[in-house]
Amino acid sequence: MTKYIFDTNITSILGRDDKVSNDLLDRLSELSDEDIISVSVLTLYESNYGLKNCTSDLQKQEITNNINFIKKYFDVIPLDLKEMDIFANLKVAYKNHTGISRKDAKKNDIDLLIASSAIAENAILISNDKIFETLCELDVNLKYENWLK
Amino acid sequence: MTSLKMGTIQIDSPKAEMIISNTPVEEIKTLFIAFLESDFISKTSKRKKGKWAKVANEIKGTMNPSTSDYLQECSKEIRNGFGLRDLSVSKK
Repeated sequence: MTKYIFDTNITSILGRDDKVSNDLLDRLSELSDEDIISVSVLTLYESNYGLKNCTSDLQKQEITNNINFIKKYFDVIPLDLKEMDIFANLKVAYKNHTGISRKDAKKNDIDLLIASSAIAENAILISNDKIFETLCELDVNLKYENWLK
Repeated sequence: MTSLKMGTIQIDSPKAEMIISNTPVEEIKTLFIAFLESDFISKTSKRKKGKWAKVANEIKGTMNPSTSDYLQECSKEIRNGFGLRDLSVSKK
């Protein structure tokens, strides 16, 4: 049994019908029944913001379906105390490694929180964001795969 | 060249041992590759009927590319704006 966490840049293209999403869905289809797919609660926050922010009825319907689909089939991982140290250590290491300013470092907080969840859950993070390649170098416990490559 | 007839034998039986010992290496290789291929096809076929294949089929084609792009932009908007004020005291 393997546990995966899908980032928002993955859940938001699951419903498309093009080569990128078809390749992604092929990877999903190959998983065994025992495997678990999850998302961070932050992904649902982002999707729900998209829902409340949009004005198109069609888009509202599609995003609602997407959120319901996630809640039906994927586990939702809340933020938890067990990730507190992981997040803090990862953020300090990332700031020191990249030398980015405090202002710019704020932009990575959600990425760092999701990475912390993946580490705490011993799950493989599936994303299309290069920051996780860097974070893998900073914490060997982070397992990351890009299924869109 | 010896030609092998298609059939089913138990892989660890004395009969299988006798056939293998009397079969040219190239033919054993061919048979082994055929076995691996059929095993792969069998496992792939099973996976395609599994739980996650059904889930993938259910979500496929339910969202326009414009909605998908919009959701990604919303995510970026939150990620770029999210963050606690850094009030730590800097070294002087």
